[in-house]
Amino acid sequence: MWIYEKSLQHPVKVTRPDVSFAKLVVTQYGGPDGELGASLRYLNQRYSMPTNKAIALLTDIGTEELAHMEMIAALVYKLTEGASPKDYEAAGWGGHYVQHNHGLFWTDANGVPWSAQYIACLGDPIADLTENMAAEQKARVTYEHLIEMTNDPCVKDMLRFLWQREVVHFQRFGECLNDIQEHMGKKNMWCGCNVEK
Amino acid sequence: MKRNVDNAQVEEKDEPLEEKDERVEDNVEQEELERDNMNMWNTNNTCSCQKTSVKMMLAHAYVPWQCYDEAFSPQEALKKGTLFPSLYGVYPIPR
Repeated sequence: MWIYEKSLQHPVKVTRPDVSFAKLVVTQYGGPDGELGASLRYLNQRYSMPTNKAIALLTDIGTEELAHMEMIAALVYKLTEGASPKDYEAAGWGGHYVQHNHGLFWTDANGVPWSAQYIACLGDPIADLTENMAAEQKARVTYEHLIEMTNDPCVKDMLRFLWQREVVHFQRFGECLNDIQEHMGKKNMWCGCNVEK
Repeated sequence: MKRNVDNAQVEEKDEPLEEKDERVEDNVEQEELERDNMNMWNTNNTCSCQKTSVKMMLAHAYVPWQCYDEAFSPQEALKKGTLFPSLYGVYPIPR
Protein backbone atom coordinates (compact mmCIF):
# COMPACT_ATOMS: atom_id res chain seq x y z
CA MET A 1 0.00 0.00 0.00
CA TRP A 2 1.39 3.37 -0.92
CA ILE A 3 0.58 6.98 -0.26
CA TYR A 4 1.14 9.26 -3.23
CA GLU A 5 2.70 12.65 -2.63
CA LYS A 6 1.70 14.98 -5.43
CA SER A 7 5.10 16.58 -5.83
CA LEU A 8 8.48 15.51 -7.11
CA GLN A 9 11.20 14.53 -4.64
CA HIS A 10 13.40 17.26 -6.14
CA PRO A 11 12.37 19.95 -8.66
CA VAL A 12 12.90 19.08 -12.33
CA LYS A 13 13.76 22.11 -14.43
CA VAL A 14 15.29 22.44 -17.88
CA THR A 15 16.78 25.58 -19.46
CA ARG A 16 15.60 24.51 -22.92
CA PRO A 17 14.29 21.38 -24.62
CA ASP A 18 17.06 19.05 -25.76
CA VAL A 19 15.87 15.94 -27.58
CA SER A 20 19.41 14.60 -27.99
CA PHE A 21 19.89 14.54 -24.22
CA ALA A 22 16.41 13.08 -23.68
CA LYS A 23 17.51 10.15 -25.85
CA LEU A 24 20.47 9.58 -23.53
CA VAL A 25 18.90 10.19 -20.12
CA VAL A 26 16.00 7.86 -20.89
CA THR A 27 18.40 5.07 -19.92
CA GLN A 28 17.78 6.02 -16.28
CA TYR A 29 14.08 5.44 -16.97
CA GLY A 30 14.31 1.98 -18.53
CA GLY A 31 17.97 1.07 -18.95
CA PRO A 32 19.93 -1.69 -17.17
CA ASP A 33 20.83 0.55 -14.22
CA GLY A 34 17.74 2.74 -14.39
CA GLU A 35 15.14 3.61 -11.80
CA LEU A 36 12.44 1.18 -12.96
CA GLY A 37 14.81 -1.75 -12.53
CA ALA A 38 16.03 -0.42 -9.20
CA SER A 39 12.54 -0.03 -7.73
CA LEU A 40 11.34 -3.44 -8.91
CA ARG A 41 14.55 -5.14 -7.75
CA TYR A 42 14.24 -3.87 -4.18
CA LEU A 43 10.47 -4.14 -3.86
CA ASN A 44 10.71 -7.76 -5.02
CA GLN A 45 13.72 -8.83 -2.96
CA ARG A 46 12.23 -7.68 0.33
CA TYR A 47 10.07 -10.80 0.72
CA SER A 48 13.03 -13.08 1.22
CA MET A 49 14.97 -10.90 3.67
CA PRO A 50 15.46 -12.47 7.12
CA THR A 51 14.98 -9.38 9.32
CA ASN A 52 12.24 -6.78 9.53
CA LYS A 53 14.88 -4.05 9.38
CA ALA A 54 16.16 -5.34 6.03
CA ILE A 55 12.60 -5.66 4.69
CA ALA A 56 11.86 -2.09 5.77
CA LEU A 57 15.03 -0.79 4.14
CA LEU A 58 14.21 -2.45 0.82
CA THR A 59 10.66 -1.11 0.97
CA ASP A 60 11.92 2.41 1.68
CA ILE A 61 14.59 2.47 -1.00
CA GLY A 62 12.36 0.69 -3.55
CA THR A 63 9.69 3.32 -2.92
CA GLU A 64 12.20 6.13 -3.31
CA GLU A 65 13.37 4.65 -6.62
CA LEU A 66 9.78 4.94 -7.88
CA ALA A 67 9.98 8.63 -7.04
CA HIS A 68 13.25 8.84 -8.98
CA MET A 69 11.63 7.16 -11.97
CA GLU A 70 8.97 9.86 -11.79
CA MET A 71 11.68 12.56 -11.80
CA ILE A 72 13.40 11.04 -14.85
CA ALA A 73 10.02 10.76 -16.60
CA ALA A 74 9.37 14.45 -15.90
CA LEU A 75 12.84 15.31 -17.21
CA VAL A 76 12.45 13.36 -20.46
CA TYR A 77 9.03 14.88 -20.98
CA LYS A 78 10.34 18.42 -20.45
CA LEU A 79 13.36 17.87 -22.69
CA THR A 80 11.06 16.86 -25.56
CA GLU A 81 8.27 19.38 -24.91
CA GLY A 82 7.20 21.06 -28.14
CA ALA A 83 9.71 19.10 -30.22
CA SER A 84 8.63 18.41 -33.82
CA PRO A 85 9.15 15.11 -35.66
CA LYS A 86 12.05 16.83 -37.42
CA ASP A 87 13.64 17.66 -34.06
CA TYR A 88 13.42 13.98 -33.08
CA GLU A 89 14.93 13.03 -36.42
CA ALA A 90 17.77 15.54 -36.04
CA ALA A 91 18.51 14.14 -32.58
CA GLY A 92 18.72 10.61 -33.97
CA TRP A 93 15.57 9.66 -32.05
CA GLY A 94 13.15 9.50 -35.01
CA GLY A 95 12.39 5.89 -34.15
CA HIS A 96 11.06 6.95 -30.76
CA TYR A 97 8.76 9.51 -32.35
CA VAL A 98 7.41 6.91 -34.76
CA GLN A 99 6.69 4.42 -32.00
CA HIS A 100 5.70 6.65 -29.10
CA ASN A 101 5.23 10.26 -30.28
CA HIS A 102 5.76 12.41 -27.15
CA GLY A 103 5.00 9.44 -24.92
CA LEU A 104 7.64 7.83 -22.76
CA PHE A 105 8.96 4.33 -22.97
CA TRP A 106 11.40 2.28 -20.87
CA THR A 107 14.50 1.89 -23.00
CA ASP A 108 18.19 2.42 -22.57
CA ALA A 109 20.17 5.10 -24.46
CA ASN A 110 20.36 2.80 -27.50
CA GLY A 111 16.63 2.09 -27.65
CA VAL A 112 16.86 -1.39 -26.14
CA PRO A 113 13.63 -1.98 -24.18
CA TRP A 114 13.64 -2.67 -20.45
CA SER A 115 13.99 -6.31 -19.49
CA ALA A 116 13.59 -8.28 -16.29
CA GLN A 117 17.05 -9.65 -17.06
CA TYR A 118 18.36 -6.43 -15.54
CA ILE A 119 17.28 -7.50 -12.07
CA ALA A 120 17.92 -10.51 -9.92
CA CYS A 121 16.55 -12.20 -6.83
CA LEU A 122 18.45 -15.21 -5.58
CA GLY A 123 16.56 -15.41 -2.29
CA ASP A 124 19.90 -15.33 -0.48
CA PRO A 125 20.20 -12.10 1.50
CA ILE A 126 23.97 -11.78 1.14
CA ALA A 127 23.86 -12.36 -2.63
CA ASP A 128 20.87 -10.03 -3.06
CA LEU A 129 22.28 -7.19 -0.95
CA THR A 130 25.61 -7.44 -2.75
CA GLU A 131 23.74 -7.18 -6.05
CA ASN A 132 22.01 -4.05 -4.77
CA MET A 133 25.29 -2.45 -3.78
CA ALA A 134 26.64 -3.14 -7.26
CA ALA A 135 23.44 -1.73 -8.76
CA GLU A 136 23.85 1.52 -6.80
CA GLN A 137 27.44 1.85 -8.00
CA LYS A 138 26.43 1.27 -11.61
CA ALA A 139 23.66 3.85 -11.33
CA ARG A 140 26.08 6.33 -9.74
CA VAL A 141 28.51 5.99 -12.65
CA THR A 142 25.71 6.24 -15.22
CA TYR A 143 24.67 9.56 -13.64
CA GLU A 144 28.29 10.74 -13.82
CA HIS A 145 28.37 9.90 -17.54
CA LEU A 146 25.08 11.68 -18.11
CA ILE A 147 26.21 14.80 -16.23
CA GLU A 148 29.24 14.92 -18.55
CA MET A 149 26.92 14.78 -21.56
CA THR A 150 24.81 17.88 -20.81
CA ASN A 151 25.62 21.59 -20.53
CA ASP A 152 22.29 22.54 -18.96
CA PRO A 153 22.99 23.62 -15.35
CA CYS A 154 19.40 22.88 -14.26
CA VAL A 155 19.62 19.35 -15.61
CA LYS A 156 23.06 18.82 -14.07
CA ASP A 157 21.70 19.97 -10.71
CA MET A 158 18.80 17.53 -10.72
CA LEU A 159 20.97 14.63 -11.93
CA ARG A 160 23.50 15.44 -9.20
CA PHE A 161 20.75 15.04 -6.60
CA LEU A 162 19.92 11.58 -7.96
CA TRP A 163 23.65 10.77 -8.10
CA GLN A 164 24.00 11.58 -4.41
CA ARG A 165 21.04 9.36 -3.55
CA GLU A 166 22.87 6.43 -5.14
CA VAL A 167 25.81 7.08 -2.80
CA VAL A 168 23.49 7.20 0.21
CA HIS A 169 21.73 3.99 -0.82
CA PHE A 170 25.06 2.22 -1.22
CA GLN A 171 25.91 3.15 2.37
CA ARG A 172 22.53 1.92 3.63
CA PHE A 173 22.71 -1.40 1.76
CA GLY A 174 26.25 -1.85 3.07
CA GLU A 175 25.12 -1.29 6.67
CA CYS A 176 22.26 -3.71 6.02
CA LEU A 177 24.75 -6.29 4.77
CA ASN A 178 26.82 -5.82 7.95
CA ASP A 179 23.66 -6.42 9.98
CA ILE A 180 22.53 -9.45 8.01
CA GLN A 181 25.93 -11.13 8.18
CA GLU A 182 25.94 -10.62 11.93
CA HIS A 183 22.37 -11.90 12.20
CA MET A 184 23.19 -15.03 10.22
CA GLY A 185 26.30 -15.62 12.32
CA LYS A 186 24.25 -15.47 15.54
CA LYS A 187 21.64 -17.84 14.21
CA ASN A 188 24.32 -20.24 13.05
CA MET A 189 22.61 -20.11 9.71
CA TRP A 190 25.81 -19.11 8.07
CA CYS A 191 29.25 -18.01 9.17
CA GLY A 192 28.48 -14.45 8.15
CA CYS A 193 30.87 -13.14 10.78
CA ASN A 194 32.42 -13.99 14.10
CA VAL A 195 30.48 -12.30 16.85
CA GLU A 196 32.48 -11.68 19.99
CA LYS A 197 30.20 -12.28 22.92
CA MET B 1 29.76 19.17 16.93
CA LYS B 2 28.23 16.72 19.28
CA ARG B 3 28.71 13.11 19.99
CA ASN B 4 26.66 10.77 22.06
CA VAL B 5 28.80 9.15 24.64
CA ASP B 6 26.91 7.77 27.57
CA ASN B 7 28.67 5.88 30.28
CA ALA B 8 26.35 2.92 30.29
CA GLN B 9 27.20 2.25 26.75
CA VAL B 10 30.90 2.71 27.31
CA GLU B 11 30.84 0.20 30.15
CA GLU B 12 29.37 -2.46 27.92
CA LYS B 13 32.52 -2.57 25.86
CA ASP B 14 35.56 -3.90 27.61
CA GLU B 15 37.98 -1.10 27.04
CA PRO B 16 39.59 1.02 29.75
CA LEU B 17 37.18 3.75 30.82
CA GLU B 18 39.70 6.43 31.74
CA GLU B 19 41.34 6.46 28.40
CA LYS B 20 38.10 7.05 26.62
CA ASP B 21 36.83 9.82 28.88
CA GLU B 22 40.05 11.66 28.55
CA ARG B 23 39.97 11.48 24.83
CA VAL B 24 36.39 12.61 24.54
CA GLU B 25 36.78 15.55 26.90
CA ASP B 26 40.16 16.84 25.90
CA ASN B 27 40.58 16.26 22.31
CA VAL B 28 37.72 17.69 20.32
CA GLU B 29 39.93 18.51 17.39
CA GLN B 30 41.32 15.02 17.20
CA GLU B 31 37.78 13.72 17.37
CA GLU B 32 36.82 15.79 14.41
CA LEU B 33 39.79 14.52 12.47
CA GLU B 34 38.83 10.98 13.29
CA ARG B 35 35.32 11.58 12.11
CA ASP B 36 36.63 12.98 8.85
CA ASN B 37 38.75 9.93 8.37
CA MET B 38 35.62 7.86 8.98
CA ASN B 39 37.04 5.54 11.56
CA MET B 40 35.96 2.30 10.03
CA TRP B 41 35.01 0.08 12.88
CA ASN B 42 34.57 2.59 15.68
CA THR B 43 37.28 0.96 17.69
CA ASN B 44 37.16 4.01 19.95
CA ASN B 45 33.58 3.04 20.91
CA THR B 46 32.39 6.61 20.99
CA CYS B 47 29.51 5.95 18.70
CA SER B 48 26.31 4.14 19.58
CA CYS B 49 25.70 2.84 16.11
CA GLN B 50 27.58 -0.39 16.46
CA LYS B 51 26.45 -2.55 19.34
CA THR B 52 28.65 -5.56 18.96
CA SER B 53 32.22 -5.80 17.86
CA VAL B 54 32.49 -7.87 14.76
CA LYS B 55 35.55 -9.57 13.44
CA MET B 56 35.75 -9.30 9.72
CA MET B 57 36.02 -12.50 7.73
CA LEU B 58 37.60 -13.17 4.41
CA ALA B 59 35.31 -13.32 1.39
CA HIS B 60 32.71 -11.06 3.01
CA ALA B 61 31.95 -7.43 2.21
CA TYR B 62 31.60 -4.77 4.90
CA VAL B 63 30.84 -1.06 4.83
CA PRO B 64 31.96 1.26 7.63
CA TRP B 65 29.10 2.19 9.96
CA GLN B 66 27.99 5.77 9.62
CA CYS B 67 27.77 7.79 12.83
CA TYR B 68 25.16 10.51 13.16
CA ASP B 69 27.18 13.49 14.27
CA GLU B 70 26.44 16.42 11.98
CA ALA B 71 23.52 17.36 9.76
CA PHE B 72 22.80 19.88 7.02
CA SER B 73 19.75 22.10 7.39
CA PRO B 74 16.63 20.47 5.88
CA GLN B 75 16.72 22.96 2.95
CA GLU B 76 20.35 22.17 2.25
CA ALA B 77 19.75 18.43 2.59
CA LEU B 78 16.89 18.49 0.08
CA LYS B 79 19.13 20.31 -2.39
CA LYS B 80 22.16 18.11 -1.92
CA GLY B 81 20.49 14.73 -1.71
CA THR B 82 21.73 13.88 1.77
CA LEU B 83 21.24 15.11 5.31
CA PHE B 84 24.75 14.10 6.26
CA PRO B 85 27.95 16.06 5.55
CA SER B 86 29.86 12.83 6.17
CA LEU B 87 28.15 11.25 3.13
CA TYR B 88 28.59 14.27 0.87
CA GLY B 89 31.71 14.26 -1.27
CA VAL B 90 32.86 10.73 -0.43
CA TYR B 91 32.89 10.23 -4.20
CA PRO B 92 34.11 13.17 -6.36
CA ILE B 93 31.06 15.37 -7.00
CA PRO B 94 30.29 15.47 -10.76
CA ARG B 95 30.07 19.01 -12.17
